[in-house]
Amino acid sequence: MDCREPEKLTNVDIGIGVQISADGTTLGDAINTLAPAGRGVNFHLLISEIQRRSATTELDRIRGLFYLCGQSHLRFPSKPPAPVTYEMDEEPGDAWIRFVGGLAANLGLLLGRQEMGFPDVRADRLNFCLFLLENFPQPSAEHWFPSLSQVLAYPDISIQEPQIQGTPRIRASLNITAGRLYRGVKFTHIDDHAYEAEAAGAEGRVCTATLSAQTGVGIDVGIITGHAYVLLDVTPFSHPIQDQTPGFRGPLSLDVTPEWDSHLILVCRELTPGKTPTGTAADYHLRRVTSLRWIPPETCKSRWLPFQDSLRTIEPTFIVNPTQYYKRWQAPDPNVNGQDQLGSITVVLQ
Amino acid sequence: MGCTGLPVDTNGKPLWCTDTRHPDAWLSIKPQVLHRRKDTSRIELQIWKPAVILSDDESNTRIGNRTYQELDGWVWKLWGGILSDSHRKHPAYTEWLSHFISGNYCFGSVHAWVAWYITEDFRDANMSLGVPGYVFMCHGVPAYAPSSLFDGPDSKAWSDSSILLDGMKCWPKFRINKAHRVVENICPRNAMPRRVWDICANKVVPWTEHLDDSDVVPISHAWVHWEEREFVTTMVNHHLWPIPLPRGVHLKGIRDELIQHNIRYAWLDVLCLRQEAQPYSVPPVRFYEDDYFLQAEKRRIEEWAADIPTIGSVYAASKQVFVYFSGLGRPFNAAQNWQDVRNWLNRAWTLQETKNPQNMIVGGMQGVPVDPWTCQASTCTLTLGPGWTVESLRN
Repeated sequence: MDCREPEKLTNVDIGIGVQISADGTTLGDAINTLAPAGRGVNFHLLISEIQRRSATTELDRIRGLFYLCGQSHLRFPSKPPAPVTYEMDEEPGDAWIRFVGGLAANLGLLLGRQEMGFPDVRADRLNFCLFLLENFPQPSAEHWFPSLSQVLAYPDISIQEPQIQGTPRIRASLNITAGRLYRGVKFTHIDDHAYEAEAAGAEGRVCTATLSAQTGVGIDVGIITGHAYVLLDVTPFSHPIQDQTPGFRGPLSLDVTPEWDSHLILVCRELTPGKTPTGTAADYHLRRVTSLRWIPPETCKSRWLPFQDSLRTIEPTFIVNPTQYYKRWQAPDPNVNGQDQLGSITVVLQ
Repeated sequence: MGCTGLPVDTNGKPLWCTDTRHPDAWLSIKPQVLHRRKDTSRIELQIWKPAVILSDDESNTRIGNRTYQELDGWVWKLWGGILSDSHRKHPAYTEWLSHFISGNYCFGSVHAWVAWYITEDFRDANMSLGVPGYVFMCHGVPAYAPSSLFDGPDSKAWSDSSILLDGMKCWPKFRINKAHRVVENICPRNAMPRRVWDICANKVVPWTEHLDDSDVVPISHAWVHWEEREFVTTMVNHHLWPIPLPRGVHLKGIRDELIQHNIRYAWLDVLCLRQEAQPYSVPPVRFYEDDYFLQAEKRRIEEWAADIPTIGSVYAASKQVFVYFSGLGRPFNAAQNWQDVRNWLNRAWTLQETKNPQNMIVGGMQGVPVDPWTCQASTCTLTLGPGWTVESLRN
């Protein structure tokens, strides 16, 4: 639909010129930016647009997210992340919690999404949760993700909320079933945005690793020096099928490769200290304190943190044969990697 | 602040249908759940080829005293290219046409019904015609009682359903089991809205299964300021509620534009989604003030509980979006204030209605000699944060 007649009409004639912007942005530019032709959602843009735009009610902003993330034209999952309901009197903050909680349901399975053959649209659910974990170091008062007010303040990520003890009003936990978990990790401040983590290594030796703020910005993320934390590595991994030999493979195997150069490490505290589960399939409740990143040094042989994982998350195990590649649940082999195992658990991140 | 222009007669009596429980009003059932079929050979083309566009007058003309043969002849005249003898000899055809005559329906309603009747879906549904409550007559077109509304396909469930739906006791927000207990209050994931605008028939009709989701073009627009709106009643939506439109805009102009773009079905919120009652209108509505507005609002809230969650499905499923950047039905204005809070670019609601430009049809372009995509808008949508640029966002 090209109706331009530049030779006959001037900008003044056709009404253009009144709103010329400094950088010459056109309507087409703006729309193209909002609806990228390629796959994947620009979450920075999404959050920014939601907070920038005007709405009749604050709840409308969240409803827009439900639509966006429940539909496919922006490459979010084909199914809504949570039951789409219309509650006239719902608080916007509660709608946000319900929205993220729906996105987060059973995402632990998706950490190894690529080799499992999950559709990309499902992977976007994980990506959005990882985006929140990665870009908002301050969790909300009740949950592992930022509150609506914290999100609407983005890119200011320094807003802290006092942690509420006890069960959250609205359940929106993130169940992690294929992450790597390290307990008893203590931190030492290096500078404004870097910490040295110290814990027992695989062979009983004390190992250290340097972790830094995800954003590279020095803000108070509430880490207390000398306090023992639980680290959870939720970096997505891939498990390339190099042969078609029948056998079992799990995500905690050594040949699993992290997808990112920079690991996403969640610093957590135990919600029920002293009651560490030891049985299989027990829930292990953690509360996120902040998120840090770890880049394996070049001298590091392993692509994963050097600490001993004293607890194992439940992992989907894959049966490989020449015609199929599918998953089934199986407790990890206690002798895998020669590491001791106290239990196979589902981490419930609150 | 009161709204102006509510359509009332000289006595202040509303000109729209004020009986929210009128048998001719839409049933408050849940939106249609479209069970996609893998058989893609069905009806898509069939409903497009014979799409005869009725004039406003013809669409709104009631059957009156015309005989069955006359109505059948009218249908044959419009649909003869596809309507077979087997269609016309089918008992259901006779039954429905007789119903139209007895109910003195509009020709537009009959026209919209035939579009569904010629589809294979109808023949499927027709097998259930003997089951009370399964197929409803809504303004001359059948509407499903979606099977997902009830648990189990057994006859007992259907029997119960007819009781519930005939009495219109069904709270649309909930799933109801055979014991009439609420078991779930979620909207089905693939639910589509309850109404759609049949452009050829110029009637709002139930969104039945014969529609391919992607053939419905939603109309995106940002609502103009309250004071710039006026309310009209129209037979397009069977006078079910006053339509808020930008002052000076007529539905006919919008329909003409959609026809020019070969759009068969459209979803327009003011037509297909029950609008709020306006109890503080100027001049005041003198009749039904207390009861009507209370009932109308109750009805709207009931419907919105089921309908609002379905809006996203329309935009997601559609191949194209028809968008008015300068207000519904208004000509595109390149010199508008793109930074205004009411501008389409600046509304949170329209974000989910955005598609790639090649999938967006810009409305109001007739006589406007500009390419809307290259006219310069503003940087307002791109001032997102320190250090961010357009390119970094795209990456």
